[in-house]
Amino acid sequence: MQQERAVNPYDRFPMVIVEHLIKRFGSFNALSDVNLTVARGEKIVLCGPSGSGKSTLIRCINHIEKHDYGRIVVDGVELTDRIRDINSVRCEVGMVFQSFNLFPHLSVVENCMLAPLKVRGLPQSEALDRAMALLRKVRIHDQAKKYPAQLSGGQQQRVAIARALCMQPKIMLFDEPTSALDPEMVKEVLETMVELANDGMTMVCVTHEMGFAREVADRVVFMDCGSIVEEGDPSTFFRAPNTERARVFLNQIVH
Amino acid sequence: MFGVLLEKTMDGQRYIDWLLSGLGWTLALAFFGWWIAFAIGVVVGIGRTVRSSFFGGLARLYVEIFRNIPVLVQMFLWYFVLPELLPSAMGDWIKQIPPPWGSFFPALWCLSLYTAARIAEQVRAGIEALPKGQPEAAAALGLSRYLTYRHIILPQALRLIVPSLTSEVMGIYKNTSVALTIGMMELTAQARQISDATFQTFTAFGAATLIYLTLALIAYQTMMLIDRAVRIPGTAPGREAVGLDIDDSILESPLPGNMEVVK
Repeated sequence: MQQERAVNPYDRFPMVIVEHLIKRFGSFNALSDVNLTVARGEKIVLCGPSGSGKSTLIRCINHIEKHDYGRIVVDGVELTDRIRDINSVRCEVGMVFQSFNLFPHLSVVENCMLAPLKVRGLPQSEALDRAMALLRKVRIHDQAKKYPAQLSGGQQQRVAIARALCMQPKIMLFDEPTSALDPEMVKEVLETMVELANDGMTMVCVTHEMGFAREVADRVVFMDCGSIVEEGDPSTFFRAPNTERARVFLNQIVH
Repeated sequence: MFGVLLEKTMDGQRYIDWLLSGLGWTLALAFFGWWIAFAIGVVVGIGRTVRSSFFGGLARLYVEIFRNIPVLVQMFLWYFVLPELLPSAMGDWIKQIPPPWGSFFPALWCLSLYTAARIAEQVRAGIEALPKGQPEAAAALGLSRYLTYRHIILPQALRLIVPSLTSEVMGIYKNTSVALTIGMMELTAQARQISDATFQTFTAFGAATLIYLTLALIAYQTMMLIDRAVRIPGTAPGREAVGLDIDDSILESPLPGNMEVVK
């Protein structure tokens, strides 16, 4: 099982396979028997009421949350308790958090360079070039020397996206990336995410931005009470959801 | 009032030289003791926060033992009791260490271990005060536990506790006075000696008091300077505004040494 990790010629295999996933917090079932496959290059939007387990699901994918039962295979590596597997998976999985979680004591460019330098072992100059290139891509390179506390929320979130991209991940996970932002800053972050999607990045986004979902998602996955209730292509899902729960949910978020 | 300090003693020195020699020993104990305590304190403090119950328990045990025994008792334990517990050859060797080193090392060791236990608790509090998102973000980037502590947790936690470490700095040099009980001729011991020799109790201890107060002020000011020097730009309430100039060397040498300044 572990031997498959070294060589991974199965590029046509799915990026992420989640099978019969169960996650409990005490006696509470956060996830009960979730199955999800993410193809390479696919963009999935996860939505659902709060507490439905969507954040928990993507946090399980890079093992920030440890699952109790079931199987998660990321890029051909199964997530077990083996620390080497976990770290190697995390290198390939970029994550963007609701609360940015930039490192406040490091400048913007240092935030982006830390992991490539220390985890990937990149030389200084290369890490710097890569960081500046990606900061330019998210249009924040002129703030490279500032510290996170000196930036607006939208700018911080774009730095967080650049920081994750500096590891050159194969898949990006977004955990409600715009929920903590002031309304006028949502757009700049979503634009960055759309660009990323257009570049062909595999993405799993927990978001309630339905405009973004319509524009970018290949598939919308609707969760409730720890299970996937419905999935489908965005136009069908938003126009005519199959289930009553999805209908209720959509009515609530489209004020 | 302090004129008596300039008078000659029986051994040809002046009383003020006694005081200065005592001050020297006080500073030596406090300075070296501080660095040893800081090193041990950080390690034990980290131990208090790791998931391993073995290291966690060990660190807890250390803190409880050294924090809860009075310094004076600890001083006696290291000086009088330890040589008796060791194999007699070793105990005799320790007892024959010539003065002042025979008192200095037990005193140094005692003050270091005691202060380390207190620092460890500060370090633990600093680490636990960090938002959970910090280690999570580090983990998501593939940083190992070691790298997370080294580059994310400790640099932030240590900055956070600079103000509370100030009182530990002041604590350790005040506690050096306990070393007089095992024969260390530090500041308080010299003051007592002057008082005994001249019967000028008020002068002798007045001078010592002033010196201790001055040291406290210096320690306080130094810690304030350190606090300001390691402050994260943009986080100071109302002091440094957004958009200040950061020197260009940061771009040339990312991950600057400023994380280490706190040590």
